[in-house]
Amino acid sequence: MIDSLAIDVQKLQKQYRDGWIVPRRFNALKGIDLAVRRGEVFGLLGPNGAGKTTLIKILLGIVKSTGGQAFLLGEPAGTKSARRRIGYLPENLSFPSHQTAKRAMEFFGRLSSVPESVIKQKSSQLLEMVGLAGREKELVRKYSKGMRQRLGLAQAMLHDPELLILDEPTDGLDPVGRSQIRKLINELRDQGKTVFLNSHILQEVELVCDRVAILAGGALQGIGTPRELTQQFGGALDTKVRIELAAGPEKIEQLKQRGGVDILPLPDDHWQLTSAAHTQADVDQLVDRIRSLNISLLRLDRTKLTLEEVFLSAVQKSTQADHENPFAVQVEN
Amino acid sequence: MKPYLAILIDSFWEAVGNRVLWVLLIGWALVLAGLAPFGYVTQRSFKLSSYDIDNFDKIKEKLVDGAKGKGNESVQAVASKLSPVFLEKLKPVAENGGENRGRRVRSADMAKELNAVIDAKDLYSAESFPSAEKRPKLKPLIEQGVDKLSEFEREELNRELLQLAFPLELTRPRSEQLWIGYAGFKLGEPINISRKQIKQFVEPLLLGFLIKLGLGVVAVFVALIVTSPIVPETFRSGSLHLLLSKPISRIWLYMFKLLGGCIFVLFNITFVLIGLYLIAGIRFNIWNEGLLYCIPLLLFVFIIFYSVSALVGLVWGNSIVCVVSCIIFWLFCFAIGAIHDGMQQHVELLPQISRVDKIDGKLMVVNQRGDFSLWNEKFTVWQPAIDNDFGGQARTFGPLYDPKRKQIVVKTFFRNGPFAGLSARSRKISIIRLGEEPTQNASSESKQDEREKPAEASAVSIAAADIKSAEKDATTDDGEEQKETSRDPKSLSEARSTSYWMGETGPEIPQQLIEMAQVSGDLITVNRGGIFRLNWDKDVSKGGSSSVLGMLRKLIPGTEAFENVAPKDFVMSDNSSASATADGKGLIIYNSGNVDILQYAKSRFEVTASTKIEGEGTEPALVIANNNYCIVARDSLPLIVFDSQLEPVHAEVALPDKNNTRQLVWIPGINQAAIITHTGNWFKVDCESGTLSTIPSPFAGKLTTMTWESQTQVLLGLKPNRVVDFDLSTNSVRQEFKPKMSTLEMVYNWGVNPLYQVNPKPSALDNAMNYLLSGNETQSMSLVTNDMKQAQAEIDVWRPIFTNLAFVGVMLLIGCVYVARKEF
Repeated sequence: MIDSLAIDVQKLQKQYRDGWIVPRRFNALKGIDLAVRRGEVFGLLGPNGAGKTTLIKILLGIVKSTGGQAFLLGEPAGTKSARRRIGYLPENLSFPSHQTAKRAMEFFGRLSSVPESVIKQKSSQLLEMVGLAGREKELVRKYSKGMRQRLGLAQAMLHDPELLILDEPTDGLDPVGRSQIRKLINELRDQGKTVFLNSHILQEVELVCDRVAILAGGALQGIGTPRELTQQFGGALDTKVRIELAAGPEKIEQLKQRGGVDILPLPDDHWQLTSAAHTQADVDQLVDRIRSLNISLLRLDRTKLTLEEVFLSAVQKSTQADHENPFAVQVEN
Repeated sequence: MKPYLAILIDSFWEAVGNRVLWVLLIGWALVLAGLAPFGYVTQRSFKLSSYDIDNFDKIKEKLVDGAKGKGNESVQAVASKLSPVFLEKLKPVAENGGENRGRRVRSADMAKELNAVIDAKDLYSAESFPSAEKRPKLKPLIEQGVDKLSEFEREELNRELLQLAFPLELTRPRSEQLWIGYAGFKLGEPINISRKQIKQFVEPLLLGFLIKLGLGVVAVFVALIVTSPIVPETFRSGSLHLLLSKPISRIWLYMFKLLGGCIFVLFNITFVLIGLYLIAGIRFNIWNEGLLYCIPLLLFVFIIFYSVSALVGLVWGNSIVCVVSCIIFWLFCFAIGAIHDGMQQHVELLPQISRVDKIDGKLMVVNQRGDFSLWNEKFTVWQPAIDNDFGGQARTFGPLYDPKRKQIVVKTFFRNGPFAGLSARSRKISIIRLGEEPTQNASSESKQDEREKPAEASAVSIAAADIKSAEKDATTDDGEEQKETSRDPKSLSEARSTSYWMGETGPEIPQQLIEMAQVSGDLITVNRGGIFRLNWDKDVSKGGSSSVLGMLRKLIPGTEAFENVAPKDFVMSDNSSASATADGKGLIIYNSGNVDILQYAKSRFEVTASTKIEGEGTEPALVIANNNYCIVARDSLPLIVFDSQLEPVHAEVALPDKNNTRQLVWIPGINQAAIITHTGNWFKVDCESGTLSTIPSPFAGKLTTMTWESQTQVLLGLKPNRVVDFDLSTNSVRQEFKPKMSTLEMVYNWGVNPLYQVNPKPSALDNAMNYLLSGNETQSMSLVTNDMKQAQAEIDVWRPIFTNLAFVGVMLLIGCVYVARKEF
């Protein structure tokens, strides 16, 4: 456990059991290591069933791990003292139907043992910050999903937590709302808060997160800044060149046989070639090779690898690994 | 605690925000507003209402005769004050040439006409009402001078005179007319019950009904429907994960959510019960704090069901399943409770022994079912002494042994429903003749003659005889001939069902029997209409024909064999009670607050001492007297000890809290009386010192009856149907008579009762509610409360509370363990 870390996860495992007669075991987390530094905005990416929610539940003490350790702000995850220092916005948030925004803020503030005076003072500030000013006396059941999400974010910040765990914070929000949330997260970072973000919207994660982890198949596929991840996953592919070609199929076949390129057909004997090209020399070499076969170059673009591509690549890798490992899902004898 | 208080506060707002709550509160408010104008309207008056006329036809008949100058002088005096038009209307159709056809006189008309008599200034004359001057109530009024009486005093005098004229036909006079009123307006006629009776009945019945049905059933189930989604919604992932991320314990979250659900019910119950408390207090002057104590009790009833609903909601997460589970749970508890209560009546209450005696080595008992049985040593069971098949509750008068004629006299009346008094198919007494049968036991006969038991030890004095006949013919009450099989049982079941003796039918007892006793060798019945002696020598030819053991008898006197031997104009009320004095030569009678000692002289009773006891006079009582003292035990009041002249009050002795007298008898040879209470406890009153002490025995709480054989030896009836011969000097049991269990008893004792004890009993909390409303630890099996000897079911207040608490505890524990271990 390192005190400078907001989240410290070591060899964390979680195995679920299901079924009464023939119990089935499912490894949701397969011994992951994760360290989130204080003050950073950290994004957790992963496909459905990757173990993201399980990880968050363990961090919050909602479920117990079956192996390994997890610490929040230097304290064992799930303890009351740890929970007192975190704010949480769950996915699919619902509020009791009798509550207004004001009463919900009071309720959750009291649950976090926030003094009444602070609740009164901060709840109006926060509701204004999330764009719910003037609507605090309306019943929450009349709110749109986006409004409920904003209210959820406001309650998560009410007790001034050191760490915010936001599960799909922009879910249901319009582009303006998303932009506001991004702005808010940046402000929190400026205040020195740690934000642990779980989102499917990769562009958003790329825009706000300092570091990102990709979780797939219960294992951590990668962790680092988006740049580090593209390097890690793209390897030579982190920078690539895309060239539109005009040639007959025979010549294209010859080019393919030389290797190092991906070629996709386009209409009218046009083709799109994609290849790694870290340096200008690599580009020149590729152009020479094409020209040596008398293939015409119609257009040439140099692009960087996106996080989405990195993510998909990581997920693909994990899926292949799962296929190779027939014991990913175990059936108890 | 702050986070958990937040859960409660939130539940409060949730309840307040619930429309069903407001609909219910408005509904309750309307009910309370509708009830609020109800109340008493009272008026100081001795006037009659139609409810005061007990026997309309008899009054009519008497008045018609009186108008013709026939019958009692007092009736003639009353008839002379009636209007001629009314008298004409009273005449039978045949007498006035059909003029009365279609002109029915109703009770209300009769009451109106008699009220005019009550207003008359010159009703009283010493010639018309010769016994009036002797009546303690009338004496001061007459001495004052009829002309000098105020209007109200004159009303009182005339009403009492009317009572002398129509002792059995009119109800007891009351000084206050009571109406049920609505917003100050009188509803109908004055009601024929006192405020105390209203308190006795309205509190447990009307309020109990409103509370049990209105709140205990309707409010609780509506509340269950409304609150059932609370737990499933709380533990739904969207809201639960947010709650669990807060620094709170999930167990306490569950507990406080459950507690929060109770707030809804608390609102409803508190609102209604405070409303009822205020209405009952302001309008009926019934300030019953028990109503307020019902608030936590009803909340507890709700918690029992809600603990089931919450657990189901936790596991299945569906509010409909919660409600259905509660209904199934309620049905299960109701079924177990109903089976238990139904069987308890027949296994624990009705077999309770109300009289016991042992003569010539034979033990005889009478139980609450009215069964007169004797101990069968061979099969160790109570064998029926004579045929009786009442099934339900009954009261058996006697058995009384007549040593002169060597016979036992007994009469059983059964209670026909909870509201009814005593009734029977016929009023004929049953007679068991001893010592004449061909197969009789000679040795026992010789002992019979030796034994003439003084009434101070017990009213029961029975000679034993073994009558084991072969087949014989018998004639039943209705004259039907039936073939009787052997009286000697061959098996256990036969011993339980075959009667030992064949009873004969005797003459009819006069109406409204209060007590039957043996006084100076005569069979005396104390009835509402007087005191009667059975004259065995009179008019034998009109006797009910019957046969016993094949021998036809025509020696039984007819109805008129009962001669009125009461002092003139001596009548009694419903709540009267009587017993033979300890020397067996007189009677002590309690009658509407008056106590009279009567001596039997020259075949007629004369009042030798009389007094009036403080109080309403409507309380049922038990009375006993010996040569030195007499004791009056009234329901829920201290015992009063008088000297033999009934004045002054020698001592007042209060029984310990919640104990009411069930049996009061003299301990032979000393001025001490023994008391058994409805709670089964045993006390001794020392008349000389006026002190009460507990009689030490290992049977506290189990006693039902006693018969003292000597100062240290006593036969005790124990619950449910056991008898012990107990020696007080050594504090040991000399002999025990414990009958074998029947199949029903086995099923009850080993199956139903243990299951019931461990089963939660939400409906048994009704008993606790009755206890809170009435303040009694026992309750009568019927609503006719003027028989203090009738067995009362003990209100088991605490056991249902403990078993229900244990059940709720288990439900909560399971819920807490589930919440703590569940990975949501």
